[in-house]
Amino acid sequence: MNIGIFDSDRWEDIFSHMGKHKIRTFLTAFGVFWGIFLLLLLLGAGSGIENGVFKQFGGVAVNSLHIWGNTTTLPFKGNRPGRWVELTNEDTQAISTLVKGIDIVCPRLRVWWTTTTRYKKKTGSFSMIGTTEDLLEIEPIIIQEGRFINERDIAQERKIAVIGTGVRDILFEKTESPIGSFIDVNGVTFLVAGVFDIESYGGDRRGALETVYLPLSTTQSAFNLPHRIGWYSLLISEGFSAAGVESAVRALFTARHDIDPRDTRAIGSWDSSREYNNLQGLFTGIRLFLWIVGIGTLLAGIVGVSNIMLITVKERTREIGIRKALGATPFSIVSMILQEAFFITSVAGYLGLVAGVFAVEGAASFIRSQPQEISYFSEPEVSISVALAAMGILILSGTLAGLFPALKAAKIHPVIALREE
Amino acid sequence: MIEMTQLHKTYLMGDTQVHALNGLSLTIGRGELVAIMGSSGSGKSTLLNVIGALDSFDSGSYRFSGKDLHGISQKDAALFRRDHIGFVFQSFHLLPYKTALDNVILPLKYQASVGREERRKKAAAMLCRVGLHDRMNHLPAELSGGQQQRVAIARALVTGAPLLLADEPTGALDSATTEEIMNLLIEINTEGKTVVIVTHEDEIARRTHRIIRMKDGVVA
Ligand SMILES: Nc1ncnc2c1ncn2[C@@H]1O[C@H](COP(=O)(O)OP(=O)(O)O)[C@@H](O)[C@H]1O
Ligand SMILES: [Mg+2]
Repeated sequence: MNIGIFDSDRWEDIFSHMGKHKIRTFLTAFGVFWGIFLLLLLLGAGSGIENGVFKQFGGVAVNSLHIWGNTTTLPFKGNRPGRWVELTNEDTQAISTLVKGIDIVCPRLRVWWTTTTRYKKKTGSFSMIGTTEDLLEIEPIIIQEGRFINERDIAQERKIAVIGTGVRDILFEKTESPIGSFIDVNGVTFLVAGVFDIESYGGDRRGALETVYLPLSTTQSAFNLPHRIGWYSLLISEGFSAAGVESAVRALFTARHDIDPRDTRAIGSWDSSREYNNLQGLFTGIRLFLWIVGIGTLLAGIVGVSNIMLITVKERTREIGIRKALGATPFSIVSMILQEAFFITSVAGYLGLVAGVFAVEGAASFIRSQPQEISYFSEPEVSISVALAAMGILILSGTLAGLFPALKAAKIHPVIALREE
Repeated sequence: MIEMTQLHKTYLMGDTQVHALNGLSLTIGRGELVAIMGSSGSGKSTLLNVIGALDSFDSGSYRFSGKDLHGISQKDAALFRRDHIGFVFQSFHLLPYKTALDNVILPLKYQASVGREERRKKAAAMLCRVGLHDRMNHLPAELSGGQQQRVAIARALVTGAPLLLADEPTGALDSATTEEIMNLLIEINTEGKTVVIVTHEDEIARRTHRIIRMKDGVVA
C-alpha cells in the first residue's frame, strides 16, 4: 500500500490541501513557530543574565576565600574597641603552617593613600598593590608583555613594577614598550618588568587595569609599612570546605590579635564559593522556571495546532468518507492526518528554532560590539543540547498535536459522512 | 457473486428501532445489470451500502464470491471495498480541490504497488474511456453535472473492481444527461462488470436485466 511517508503522492495531497487553506495553515504554523522562538529567547535571556551575574566574579577563582582585618567592636583583654586589626608577615607564616586545607596563601597590601606615578612628562594616580607570584592563581591576570612578580623579586626586595594596560595607556606612547622603563612613584623609582591585562571582568575593569603590582616586600619597605599585610586570598584544597577554612583562619586571627571570640566583625571575609553556590542554586531555579514558561508557550501553540486540525478533520468529513469508500483503511487515514500535523509543526518549529538561535546570536554579537559592558547581562547563548531538547519536544508535540484529530478522523463512519442532504 | 439470506440491519432513532433491512434475501450473479427500486425509506441505500461493505449488518448471512462478510473488521472492510467495489453516488462526491485526473488517481493510491506513472496512465485512459480526454485537468466545479458523474464512474472503474454500485446516479441530472450516463453504465456492464443501480426512474430500470423491488426492508 502506498501510505509511506516518502510517497510523493501523499505529499501532493498534503500540499494541495494546505494550499487550499493558506491562512489557516500559516496561523497554525505561526503558533508553533512562536512557541519555539519564545522558548529559545527565554532560555537565551536566562543564560545571558546567568553569564552576566557570574561575570561579576571577575574571573576570580571560585574556590577562593578572601579575609582581612577590620576594627574591633568589643573590648578584650584591656584593649578598647575601635582598635585596628593589623595583619603581618607572621600571620602569613601562621596560616601556612597551622591551617589545613589551603593550597595557596596570597597576601596583598594596598597603599591606601593617594600616590602619584610619573613617567617622563606624564603622571597618573593608580592603585599600588604589593603581592606575590601566587596572585596569578587567584585573579584572571594575563601577562601581555614581560613578566609578573617572582620569588626573587620578593627575596631581594627588587624595585620592579608590573603595570596594568590602563596604566600603560596613560603613561606611555602607543608606539613605545614600557618594559625596561623606569617609573617614579612618590619619589621611589621602579623598573617596569611587565604589563598585564585581565580576562573577563564584570566589576570595575578600568580600576583593575589602572593598577600597579609591586613585590610585597618592596611595598612594605618603600612605603614604610613594615611587615604589614592588607588581606589574604586563600585557594581552598580539593575536599576541604571554604567555610571550615574560614572558621579556622578566623580562630587563628582572633587568638593572635587578642580579639573577643564573639567579635566576628573584627575580621572581614568573602567566600566566593558560597556566593557562587548560592547563585548556582538560584539559576537552577530560574532555568527551570524559564523552561516551564517556554514549554507552556509551546504547548499553547500545540493545542492551537490540534484545534485547527480538529476543525480541518470536521470540514474534511466528507472527503474522509470518500477516501474510505475508495478503500482507505483507518490506519491510512490516521497517518494522513498525522503527517500533515507533523509536517506543519516540524517546518514551523524548525524555522522557529533557527530564528530563535539567530535572535540570540544577534543579541550576543550586539552586546559584544558595545563599548560599555551591560552589567548583569552578557553573552546570551543557546547550547546545542538546549536546541536538541527543543527539537525533541517539537517532534513529540507535532505527533501529539495530530494524534487526537487523526483518531477522530479514523472513526468517521463513511455512510454518515456521505449521506445525501 | 452476491448471496444474502435473512439479512437484518436495525437503526436506532432515539427510542424507536428502524428496521432498514428486515430479513432480506437475494442473489445477484456475476455480470448482471440489476436495478433496485422502491419507495423512499424502503432500504435501498442501506442494502447497497451493506453490499459494498460500507456499512455493517446485524444478523443474517452475506457471502461475496463465497467470502463471509459478517462482522469483518473496519480494516478488512476497507480492503474489501478497495479490491472489489466501485461506488457511484447521486451527488458525485468528487474532491473539489483535485482535478478530474487526480480524482481518478485517488483510489489507485490505496492499491497495492501501482507505480506513480502507471497510476497516471490508468487514470488518463479511464477518463478517455468515459469521454473526458479533454477535461482531465479541470476541477469538478468547472465541469457539468454529467461530466462530474463521468469522472466519478471513471474513478469507480479505474481499480478494475468487478462490482459497480450506483446509488441514484442520475438523480441530480437532466433527462438528456441521464440517458448518456445510463448508456455508459450499460456499456460498462457489457464489458463484463456487474452493475447494481438504485433508481426511482422506470426508464432506467426498464433497460436493466432485472428489477429488484424493495418494501420495508425486504424484497417485495
Ligand atoms: N444512519 C441512520 N440512522 C437512523 N436511521 C437510518 C439511518 N440510515 C437510514 N435510516 C433509516 O433506514 C431506513 C432505510 O433508509 P435508506 O436505506 O436510506 O432508504 P432509501 O435509500 O430506500 O430511501 C429509513 O427509514 C431511514 O430513515
Ligand atoms: Mg437512498
